[in-house]
Amino acid sequence: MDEARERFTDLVAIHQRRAVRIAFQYLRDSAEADEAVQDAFVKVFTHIASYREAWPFEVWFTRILINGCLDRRKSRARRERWFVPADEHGQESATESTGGRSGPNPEERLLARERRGKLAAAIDRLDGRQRTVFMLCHYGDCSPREVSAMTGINESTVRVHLFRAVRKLRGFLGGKS
Amino acid sequence: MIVHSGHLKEDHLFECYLATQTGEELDPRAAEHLADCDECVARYDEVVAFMDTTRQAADAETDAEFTAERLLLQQQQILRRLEHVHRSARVITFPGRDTLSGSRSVGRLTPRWVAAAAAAGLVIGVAVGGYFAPERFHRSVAGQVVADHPMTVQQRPAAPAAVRVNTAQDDPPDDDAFLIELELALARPHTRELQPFDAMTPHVRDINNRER
Repeated sequence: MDEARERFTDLVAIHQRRAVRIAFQYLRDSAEADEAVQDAFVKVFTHIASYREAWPFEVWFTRILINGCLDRRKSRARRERWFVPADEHGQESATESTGGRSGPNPEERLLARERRGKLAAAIDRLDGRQRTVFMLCHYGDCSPREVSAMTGINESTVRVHLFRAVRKLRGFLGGKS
Repeated sequence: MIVHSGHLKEDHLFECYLATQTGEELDPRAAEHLADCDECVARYDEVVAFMDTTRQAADAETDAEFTAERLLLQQQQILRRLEHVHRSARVITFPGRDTLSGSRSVGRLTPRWVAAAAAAGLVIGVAVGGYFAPERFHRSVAGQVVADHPMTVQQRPAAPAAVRVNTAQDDPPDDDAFLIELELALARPHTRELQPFDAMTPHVRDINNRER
């Protein structure tokens, strides 16, 4: 078991950064993304026996991760429907507070933050499938074929969703539509 | 979809971009057209620039949040959680029999048949209760499970304080389950008599909407 855990550590190191990027872009909350990634790796470890090698490991792993993220989004939406936030101003996300620390000057940091905020809001306006396909292809480095395997959506439909997502995003962000 | 006569459509341009990203073969006609048409090249460059900008922004944002130290910490947390995998929880006997064995008074020892009779009585009681009031029975059993839960501990209690064992995905939090039930209940047909009360009650969602 200890050997398995050691080998799994290498696997975590390989896939961690990509996983974090997907989860963070999906959830827009670093603490929640952190938890989602941890949960996904633990789940993969405990269910490794059910992995079939028909698809690469990362396809299987990403599917688990995305399902976890979707559950968290649903749960969050449910909470938002029913609970009044205690202090909306106090809830400034971790992104806001730490996002631009490495930026060259405050003005540029502010502009970058604004751009990121707009992009995040635009992605949030996409419908569920388009958002998932865009996230997986663009942030998860998955090919349309892999996304098709993960989501069960036909590959050509994935391509259509991706194209429409990008077209919408460009429209939302003031580019061409 | 934007159609340019004699030029590549937007979706074709996007397919070209996708092909370069995934290493697929470019459509020869589109490639040929792109080699000759400056206007389409400019439009193609816009697509590439948009995609690159959004990706770079995402990378920068993620890197700012998840520094190398944080990723390392996350790895360690994952490993600590894995240490608890496949280790069954054990139930603490309370009060511990071993610690009390020396001081236990002989007079308080009960014969085995008393324990057996008590167990049999309990089983019969639960069965009869479940038969006559199944709903209350299930509720009380669920309550019992919840009450028992704090008595189970991980086999390795010496885990560092920083480790957070999160089982949110495996066991959804109680409030989440409650909210699901609540939403299901609201989706059912409403009782006509209660509708005036409902109309008078402010809804959290309305307040949220107003604040936005």
